[in-house]
Amino acid sequence: MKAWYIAVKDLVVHTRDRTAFVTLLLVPMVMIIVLGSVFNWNATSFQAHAVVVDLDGSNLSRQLTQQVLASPRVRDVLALTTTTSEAEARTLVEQGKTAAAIIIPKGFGGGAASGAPARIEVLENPESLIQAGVVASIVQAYTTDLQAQRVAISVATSVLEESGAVPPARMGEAVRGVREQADAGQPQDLIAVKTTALEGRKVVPALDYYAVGMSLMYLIFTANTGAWNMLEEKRQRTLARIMTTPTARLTVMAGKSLGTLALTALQFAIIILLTRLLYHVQWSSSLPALLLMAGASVLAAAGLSTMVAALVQSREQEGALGPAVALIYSLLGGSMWPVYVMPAWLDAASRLTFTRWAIDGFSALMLGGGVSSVLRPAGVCLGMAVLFLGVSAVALNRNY
Amino acid sequence: MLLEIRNLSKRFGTLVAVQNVNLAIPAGEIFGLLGPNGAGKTTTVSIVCGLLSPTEGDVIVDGHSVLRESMAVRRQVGVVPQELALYGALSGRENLVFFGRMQEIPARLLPGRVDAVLNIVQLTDRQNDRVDTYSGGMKRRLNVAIGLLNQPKLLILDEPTVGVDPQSRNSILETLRELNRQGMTMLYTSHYMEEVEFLCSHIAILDHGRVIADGSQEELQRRAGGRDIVSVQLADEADEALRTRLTALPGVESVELRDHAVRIATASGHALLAPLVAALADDGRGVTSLEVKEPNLEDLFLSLTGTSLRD
Repeated sequence: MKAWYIAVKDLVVHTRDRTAFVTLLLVPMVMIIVLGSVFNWNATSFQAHAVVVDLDGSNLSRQLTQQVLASPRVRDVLALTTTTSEAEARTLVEQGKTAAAIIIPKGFGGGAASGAPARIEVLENPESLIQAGVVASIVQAYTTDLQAQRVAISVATSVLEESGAVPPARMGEAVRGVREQADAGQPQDLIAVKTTALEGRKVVPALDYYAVGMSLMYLIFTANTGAWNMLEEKRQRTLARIMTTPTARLTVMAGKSLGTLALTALQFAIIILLTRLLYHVQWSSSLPALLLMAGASVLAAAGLSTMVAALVQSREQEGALGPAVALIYSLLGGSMWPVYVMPAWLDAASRLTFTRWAIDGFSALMLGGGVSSVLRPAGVCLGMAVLFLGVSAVALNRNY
Repeated sequence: MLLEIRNLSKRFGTLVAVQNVNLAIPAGEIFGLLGPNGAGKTTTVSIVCGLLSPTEGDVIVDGHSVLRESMAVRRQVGVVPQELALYGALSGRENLVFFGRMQEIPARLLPGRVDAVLNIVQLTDRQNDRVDTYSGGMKRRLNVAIGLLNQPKLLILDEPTVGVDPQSRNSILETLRELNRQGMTMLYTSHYMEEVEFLCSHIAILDHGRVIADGSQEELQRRAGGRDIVSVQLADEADEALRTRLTALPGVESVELRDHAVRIATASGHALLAPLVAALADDGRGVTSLEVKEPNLEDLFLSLTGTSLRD
């Protein structure tokens, strides 16, 4: 019961500090929205935007625009608009309103049929290189296949002529037949873009990701506040005064840790609620799984900060070490950038931090996972919390 | 004895903070622990209230060993630390309620106890204000109030008036004297000689972690030399003729002259006053001032250590 009184007292002291309130809630909310907007990605709905100008109007150009580029499988990754003006298409690219412009020049179809050089121009927006690259790749694939087709027709014609199987008078008719068969093929099958999200490589939308990342980072900062408060009480001798009452050292430390835990849990709960209401972040469809993962994360953050407070000797040392630890955990753990862009060595190192496991856990929940999907990450976080609190207990007994 | 300190020593590495201290305090007494800063007073009281473990020795409070029955000792003791150990963001009453809970005061008794101590330290009117809006003197009084909450058998006060204004200091000292009249035993540490002389019946003087003198106030004053000093300031310069005349007066042990000043050592300064004034008048000496100074603890400390209490 005394531990509870100590925790409640700490919460009351914190809630009366308006600066702490801003740090606790306002800053993380702003960070989530800023970072989520800056790094806005959504792998499950990737689409390149392009404008096409068909100045040729031939069967071949129509085949490209209507059957290849507009085929259902390409349409998933390429949003196409058309215009009749090359100048307008160039302007759209220059203004950044589209990633690329596909310009089919006049005479493209005739040239291709006669074996003369034929060229399609793709204008790329340098600010959307990935999207523009996708457009260029699709067009490139089409032209490569078209070229292969023409070579095949040419070879087939030569073989027919040399074999003498077709009388010279009927050679023209035979070549037309080969071309018609080639043209009658399924052009939309020439290019097929199949998107398959591999297991473990699915990613959550940027805003959702940063809701997790920033929450975890500020969780550590808030837990640091609790640790700082413990050292402040040591400095002001209120902690010593409690120790002169019939209160066991362990009870005092449990109360202080409980206060830190309650503060971080309160912050996390409010951030989850606000990001859900304001930004529509889909934290989880399973409340038990969310509670398990959030609880494990809060315990690990509180444990980490308590350990830092227990190991240092003064408020000044904690003021230097606490934020440094918080930043390292945030940087390494993936709060600042997506874990899947990390190089292999950093990816391996990040697994030493509870933040990485927490991000994995929350990502799994955001992608539709339930309790079973977070058992491992939550277990690792809880294991780390036990380790941190164990070290804290030993150090606190020695230093307080 | 309510408090017994037995062969107490405390070392921090190579630093000896307290060395073989032995003290015994009967119930109902205000015992003063006097000494300069760094003498070992705070270390001694920290061991008594269970904050520090002794390197050697033991402390017994009301029959309970601080080594073996720490919790039982803490239930008998109220502590007023040197620092203002208060929560500034909480009100005075909230501070008292919190520490009352830590002291295991039953919930049904707590509001009454809080009201009582607020009344004692005269903070009832400001009980609901945040402590960080209090003046220094009010904070000191609240600091004392927390120590009284559990109605302790032994109240330990470690320099409770440091940095306080004279009015608040007097208020605190009077409150403590009244509580002692009601039967509360106190261990009072200070480096202010006047406070210890005002409050304490028994005194121990600590220096470099050791008790260098211990006894009742009268005993210690006798050890200071037992001689009063009568200082006379003359209108004219003193001379050898005057020395001869004054040395012949009854009870005079020695006479020192320096310019216009005369310093006379005697067993009783007050008994010497009448013959001294008559002799000076008879000799035609003009007197500008006259002072009788009894020996005090400062003199004793000076004679024992060669340094002042405030050095």
